Amino acid sequence: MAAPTSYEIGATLLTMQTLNALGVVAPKSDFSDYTDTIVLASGLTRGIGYPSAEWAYGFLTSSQYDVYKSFCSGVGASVYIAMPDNSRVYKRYSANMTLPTRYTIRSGDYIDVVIRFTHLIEAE
Amino acid sequence: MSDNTPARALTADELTAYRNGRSAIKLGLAIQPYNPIFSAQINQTFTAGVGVAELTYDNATGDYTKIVGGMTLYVGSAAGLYDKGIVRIRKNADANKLYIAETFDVNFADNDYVTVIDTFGVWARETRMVGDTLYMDYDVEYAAGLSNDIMACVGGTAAVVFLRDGIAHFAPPSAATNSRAVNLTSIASYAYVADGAINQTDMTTPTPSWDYNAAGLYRWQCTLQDVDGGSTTVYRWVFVSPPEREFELMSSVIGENNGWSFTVKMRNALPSDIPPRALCVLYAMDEDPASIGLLSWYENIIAVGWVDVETMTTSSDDNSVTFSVFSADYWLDKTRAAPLTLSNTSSASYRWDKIYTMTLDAAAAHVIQKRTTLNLVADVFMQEFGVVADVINDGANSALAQINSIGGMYFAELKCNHLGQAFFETDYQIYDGAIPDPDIMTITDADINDGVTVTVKTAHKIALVELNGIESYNGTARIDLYSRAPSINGGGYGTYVNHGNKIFLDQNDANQIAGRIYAKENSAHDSVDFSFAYHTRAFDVAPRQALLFNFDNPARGYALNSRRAIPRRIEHQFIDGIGRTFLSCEIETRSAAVDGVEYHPPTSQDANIETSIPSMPSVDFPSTDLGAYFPTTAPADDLTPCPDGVASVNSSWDKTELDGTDSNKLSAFAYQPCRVKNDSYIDITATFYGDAYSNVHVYGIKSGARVITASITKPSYLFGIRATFTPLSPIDVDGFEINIDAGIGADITYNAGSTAASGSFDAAASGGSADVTLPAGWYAIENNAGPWQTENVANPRMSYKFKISANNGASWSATYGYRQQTNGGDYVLEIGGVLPYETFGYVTRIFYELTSTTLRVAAGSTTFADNSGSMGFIIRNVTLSGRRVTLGTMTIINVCAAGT
Repeated sequence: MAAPTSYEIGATLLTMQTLNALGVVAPKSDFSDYTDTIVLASGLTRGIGYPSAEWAYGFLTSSQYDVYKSFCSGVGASVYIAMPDNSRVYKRYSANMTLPTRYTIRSGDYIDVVIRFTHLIEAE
Repeated sequence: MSDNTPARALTADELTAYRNGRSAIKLGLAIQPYNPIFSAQINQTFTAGVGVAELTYDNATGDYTKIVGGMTLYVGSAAGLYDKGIVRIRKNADANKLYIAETFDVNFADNDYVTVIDTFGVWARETRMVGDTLYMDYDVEYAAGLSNDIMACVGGTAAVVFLRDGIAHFAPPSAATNSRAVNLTSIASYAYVADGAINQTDMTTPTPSWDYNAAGLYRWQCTLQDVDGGSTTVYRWVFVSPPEREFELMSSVIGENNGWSFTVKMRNALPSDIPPRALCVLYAMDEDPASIGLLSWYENIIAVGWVDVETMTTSSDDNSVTFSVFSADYWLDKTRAAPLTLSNTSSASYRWDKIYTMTLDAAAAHVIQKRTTLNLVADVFMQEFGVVADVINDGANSALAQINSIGGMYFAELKCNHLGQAFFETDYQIYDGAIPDPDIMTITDADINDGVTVTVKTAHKIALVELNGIESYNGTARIDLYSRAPSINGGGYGTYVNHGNKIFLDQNDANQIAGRIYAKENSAHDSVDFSFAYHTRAFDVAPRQALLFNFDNPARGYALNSRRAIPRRIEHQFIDGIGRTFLSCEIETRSAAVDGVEYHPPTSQDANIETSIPSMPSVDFPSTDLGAYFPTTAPADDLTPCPDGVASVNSSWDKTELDGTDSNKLSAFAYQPCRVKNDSYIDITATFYGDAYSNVHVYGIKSGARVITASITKPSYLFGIRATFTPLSPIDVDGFEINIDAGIGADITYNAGSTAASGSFDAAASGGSADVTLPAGWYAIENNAGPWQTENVANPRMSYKFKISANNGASWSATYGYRQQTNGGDYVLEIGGVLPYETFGYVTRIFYELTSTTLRVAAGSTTFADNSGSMGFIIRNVTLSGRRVTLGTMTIINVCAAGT
């Protein structure tokens, strides 16, 4: 597979599509290299745990919401995503996707939606 | 293939992977499903109060030939239920009957439903007496002959592997590494069966392998057979690509005391999804570093155990079931133990419960194999520490307590590691293993989060350790041993602790253990607690192992660096994809231990026995002029005047010990004026060491002179000797003397103690050597690290030789060592000289008197073609024990009042 150059999502690695192709705009994304940090006895700080990420939208239209919901019928699901890391390099990951359990809906749109991805493991 | 050695030092690459990794971890839970293989209905009636050991059945479904001993049987009021009870299948079924462990507490009834589940657990093998005949498992008679079970070590209880491109490979660790025949014969054959597997390879060797091509739970088995025909079949399991479970850990995964446990909540589950005693495996799906583990194919296992349904709770709120999982020790502790009597024998009249050279590990192996099903489902590693008991009687109320009661006589117990393997071994701090225990890793500042919590003692906790027990049974005499540490009187702070009913190799061993317990209890560091910066499964509470510290700030106030820490409690915590390991260690102080000292407890005074001279119980008589110190006193009131007959009186010696090497301890005296007649005798409670018995004399003393000599006999019913007087006519005496001839005698016991030096030499054919400077005296030289036992892995013994010189090699005293007979028989000791020696486990220990100040140790063989490597040795200080008597009570019989 060619290296990703934009945001992607899919149920499997082979079925990933760009958000653009799915009719969803690119999110404001937040990427964390580690789940947590700890301080060693030497005083050094060390990152531990899987990378995690958040995709945030000011609003999602109902059709865009349906796209995400198609990958995660419940609260959480295993998916594949592509996104930039903190070095601005796009990479593909397997991830656990978690959708909000509570939404604000205004005029049919979903307001201030944050989709969380945890347990990111590079897929390539 | 890998060796089955579940404790080893981490490699530099593995440490780097830990320190650079992110400790990211996903967890998986594999549970043995409800897996019935046979069902039927009972077709018989029962008599209340009578045990049931077999069930006649009808309306069967399934293949009864698939039923094997150890499986689980549900008894229910409807098909598949276990509402009436759960019992163990004790042997293979036949076309009409199921054979179960004798059961009294299940209310069987005609037409009850029985379901055989392909689940194995830890159960008791009940014993039964019929007349004078003892049975196990209802109808297996305690047979004549050696117990020829094999303690099988074939791999962890369960592995979890995953299909990759449709294939999952599996190769258990070598069954030859630690499996051991109880009677110490060689294991001759291995036969593996892996139903459902493909690509089976080397299935009749100890190192087979096979593949699976479909997800599922697979049981495999190994039958080990020794050269005597003894055979043991054991079972283990492999989960292949187990289904993902919706679960969360409700507690840390904890290993402490004797084993491991954890609690999980499974969602979208019903209690019926978790069968009673179901095998349950918590495993890791590590991202970085890749799984680092102790055994190949078991690296991802975090903990293994069986579900205890008594801990199960359900919640309708979240449709969940919560339950706890425990390792085999927990189940052994819930397993009833029958009263046990085992005896040692050195003759050919052995039976299962009359064990030839009954070491404690042989006795524990008997309980494990004959009275439990532990080895059926778990490896059992037995440490040989060479301590022999004459008789073991035990009434412990659980199998674990019974095994640990036996082991406790030498500070050993059974523990389980996180792979489900069990280890019967001595405490790390009390006894040195024959093979050096591994240091798993050196912990640095890069390994731990935050700091270290050290609990410090500011004053000694224990003032005095007292041990009492007997010497390892030598087939003839019981020898009492007592030791105290740090001295006879103890220290100024702390309390007194006593460990009794022990068995020691010898007095020096007792002294060494007393010193180590004292040092352990009074360690400057009570405990050391810290959390790793990552999750690691590299160490465990068993088998014996240690960790080292090397902190940048070595002091940290408590000087931890280079001290060994023994893992006592391990706690794995998992939070949101992160694994962390918390550790509580006990700091090892063995290197600082000082041997305790021998002591002799005072002779007890029985208040109910009136002695003849209560006012003078402790007169210390000089040996040279006895008569001058006798008071001019009338005979004791309670002595009968001679015309009226004779009487018996209790008296006591003025010393508790005679020692042929101590001029002040050649004689002991008892003051008891009396008239000795021709049927008078003295029964003396005493223990004889070396050749003391044949060099002891008893006299009657009058005015400081020996006036009559007794003849000495040693009746079998008397724990000591009888001194019989046969005067031609009655003779008055002031008292009695017991005396031994001066000298250490011919029968000398060599007691190896603390380490005086150590070293190594090149085992090359040309014969390397190593010099050690020591004061002249007696020493013990023994093999230590190095390829001393490389010739036969299955039954290892020291196979190289070493030789000793006191004059820098100008002349060699002798060469010693083991060699293997070429006819395939047992090993024999090849002694080139006459020096005393002893052997235990892998170790040969030679006792040698150094007449100079340089001891040279060298390779003794230039003929072995495989001489290679560096051969380590240890030199220990030695004390000699020879002609010696410990004196107890004395009763003077058939005497009357002097002068009457």
